[in-house]
Formats: sequence, structure tokens, C-alpha cells
Amino acid sequence: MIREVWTILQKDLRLELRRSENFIAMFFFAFIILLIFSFALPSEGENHQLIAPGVYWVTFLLSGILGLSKNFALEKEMGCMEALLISPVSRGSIFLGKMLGTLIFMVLMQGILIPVFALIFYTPAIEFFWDLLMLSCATALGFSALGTLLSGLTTDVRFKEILLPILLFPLLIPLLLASVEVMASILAGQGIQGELDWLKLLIGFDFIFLIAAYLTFDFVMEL
Amino acid sequence: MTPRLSTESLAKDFGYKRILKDVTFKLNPGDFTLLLGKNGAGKSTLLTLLSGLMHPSAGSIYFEGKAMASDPSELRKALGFIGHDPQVYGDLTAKENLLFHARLRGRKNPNALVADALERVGLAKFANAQVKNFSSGMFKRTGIARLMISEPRLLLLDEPYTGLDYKSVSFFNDYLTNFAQGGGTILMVSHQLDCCFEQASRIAILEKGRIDLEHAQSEFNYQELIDHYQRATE
Repeated sequence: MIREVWTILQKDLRLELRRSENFIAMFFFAFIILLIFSFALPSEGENHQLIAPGVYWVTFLLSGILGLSKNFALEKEMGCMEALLISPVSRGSIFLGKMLGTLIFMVLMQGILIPVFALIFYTPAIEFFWDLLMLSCATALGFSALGTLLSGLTTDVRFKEILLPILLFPLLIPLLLASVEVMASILAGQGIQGELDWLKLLIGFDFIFLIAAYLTFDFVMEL
Repeated sequence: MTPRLSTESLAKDFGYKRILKDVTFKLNPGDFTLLLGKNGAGKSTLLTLLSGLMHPSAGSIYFEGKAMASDPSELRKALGFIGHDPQVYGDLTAKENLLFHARLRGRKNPNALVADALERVGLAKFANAQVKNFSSGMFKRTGIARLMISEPRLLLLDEPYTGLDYKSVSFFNDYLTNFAQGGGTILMVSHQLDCCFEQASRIAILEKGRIDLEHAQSEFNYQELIDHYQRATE
């Protein structure tokens, strides 16, 4: 199983590197959203600091969906999904390989986005870079698990670009709430454990959806 | 002898339309069956069902005596499939595409296997070229190389000759003949009778969702078959 997951992940990473325009487009999209929010929201006072975590995670969701919608499109382009599905590989391995590919790119994206966010929103994000990156890993895990499952589900559906966010965003609300609260705690200097209950919710969300997505991916692929 | 692949009253509906009705047949080890039929007869649908990519609306498929619905893993290990799409990643090179499949199937010494397969299909000098720049014939040859490294026991081939030049057809036919003589089973859909009539051991005609005729190739006269086929496709 590890060999299968690694082979799929390696292939996805190689493809993403060859199509680096996807990653660059995601980054610029995120950058533009942050800029628009910084212009649209009050630029001074306490409110600015209070809403900054919310802005960051909305940006994360909107740019992340761009990457997710490409996830299975690559497999569909020349019928590669057929070859993958008839190969002697468990559906769970396909899920894990693709989910890990998304996770790695999402975390890389956050690694670049955190300093940009600090500059635009005058937050002490660089000071707490590693705490924020750890939080990004946890958020990206839940996002990638649920996103890969739903991306697989909608891959053959008309208007999948619209359907995917409609299905995904409501389910991600608990993850988003927890990430906003924990990020606010980090930026206030209380560390990642400052909002322990929200952190537990975040980890619980990751755990539940990772297992649920792994177990149901077989069924989703049969649809 | 347990058939390699068999079906019982297989049927497939798309919406309210029944494309395949009561398809029952057996494919034994060593069989090279050519499946003919006019466009829309359900040939590609049948191959897709047999590959496990689609579920039948009714009936059963058995691989080496085991119902596929309960355990498709043995079929997946043994299956080689060429469909309408090239099934390659355009941004990967031919070598990377084949290495991916070899590693996915847990083949030992994948680099040597891939190099040998590329050499045999005449793509060795394009091994490091991204396949998005390949011609349709080169796509097909990459697909044939993928079959070689998969070491299958059953081949399901949908129009495999499309885009192949004379030399590649001849090479591919030699590969198929050796494969069948070695106990492999082939079910091929093709409209290019001149390419494969001699190689096939059995010929079946799918008409109105059913296997209409199924005989040993020797029982068919090539010209009569062409006439029958032309009438069926009119």
C-alpha cells in the first residue's frame, strides 16, 4: 500500500511541477484576494486585527478550491483515470496519493502566503510563522481529505467547477471556525494551544473526515 | 477447463435504453476473439463492463470462475486494456508514464522492463520526450508498451490498430499471436478486419445488443464475413 500511495503521489508531484502555472495562478489569486480585502475593510484600529484571521482562511478556501478542481481533471484528460481504476491498486491508495499531493501543495502555498498576509494586514504572522504553518498543516489536512473525496465525486458531473464549492464549503464550516479561532489565539501571542477546544475540534475534524473519505472513496469511484 | 472470462445474461441500460441484452459467452485461455458489430452495437460498452469500469444492469461476469462483482482484484491484476483514450499523462515522458504503471503493478526491475518495452515498440529514442507531443500512432505504441510491462493474462482491446503504421501492425499482431499461444486470452473490437482476421481464433458478431454469431475463425470465409459485416453496418 505504501508503495502504491508513494507512486501516485510522486506522479502527481511531478505533474504539478511540470504544470507550475497552476501553483502560480493559485498564489496570485490568493494574493489578489488578500489585497482586495485589505482595500475593502477598515485599514486602522482593532477591527483590522480582529478580522485578519477570517480573511486569511477565506483566502485559503478560495485559492484552495482552484487546486482541488484540477485534482482529477489531470486524470480525466487522456483517460488516465480508466488506467488507474483498472490497475490492481486499492481505491484507498488512490485517495491517499491524491490527497497527500493536494496537502503538500496547500502547505507550500501557506508557507508563501503567511509572510504576504503579514505584510498586507500588518499582523505579527512572521513572528509566529512556525505556529501558523503547523495550523495550516492541520487545516490543509481536513481540507484535502474532504476536498479530494468531493473532487472525485464531482469529476464526471456537469458544472463541477460550481458544484464542488457548493458541496465543499458548507461542510468545511467547522474547520474554518476552528482555524480562525486558533489563528486569532496565535496572533494574540497565546500560542497554538491558546484555544484548546477549537484545536481539538480541528484535529477531530481532520481525523473523522480522513477516515470517512478513505473508507467511502471506493464507493465514490464506483458511481 | 475453467473459462478465463465468462458472462451470463449480461445486460446494460443507459436511461431507458437497453444497449446490451442477454449477452452470454465464454473466453478460454488461448482464445483470440474478434468482436465485430456496427457502430452503436454496444461493443465498447461490453468491453467497459468486462474491464470492471462499469457495472452491468443485469447478469454476471466471471473471471476464472469467480464472480467479478464480489472480488474484482484478480481481474485487475490480470487485465491489460486499450480503450479509446491513450491513457497517458501528457506532461510526463513515455518512460515516466510506463515506469508509473510498472511501479503501480509492483513489477521488479521496472527500469529494465520499461527500456525493453520501449525498444520493442520502437519508441526507445522518444523515451524522454513528453507524450503530449506524440502522434496517435505513438500513443497506441505507448499503450502496447504498457500492456507488455503489465504482464496480463487477459487483453481487452478497443480499436487497437487505429493510427498504427504497417510495421507497427505487424509487430503488434506478432505480440498478440505469441500472447494467445502462451495461454493469454484476447477480446478485441476492431473494424479493421484486414489487420486481424488471420490472427483471430474466434469471431463473434454483436447485433442488436446480443451475440448474433460466434464461431471459430476457420468457419468463416473472409469475403462472406466482409459481406455480412457490410450488410450489418448498412
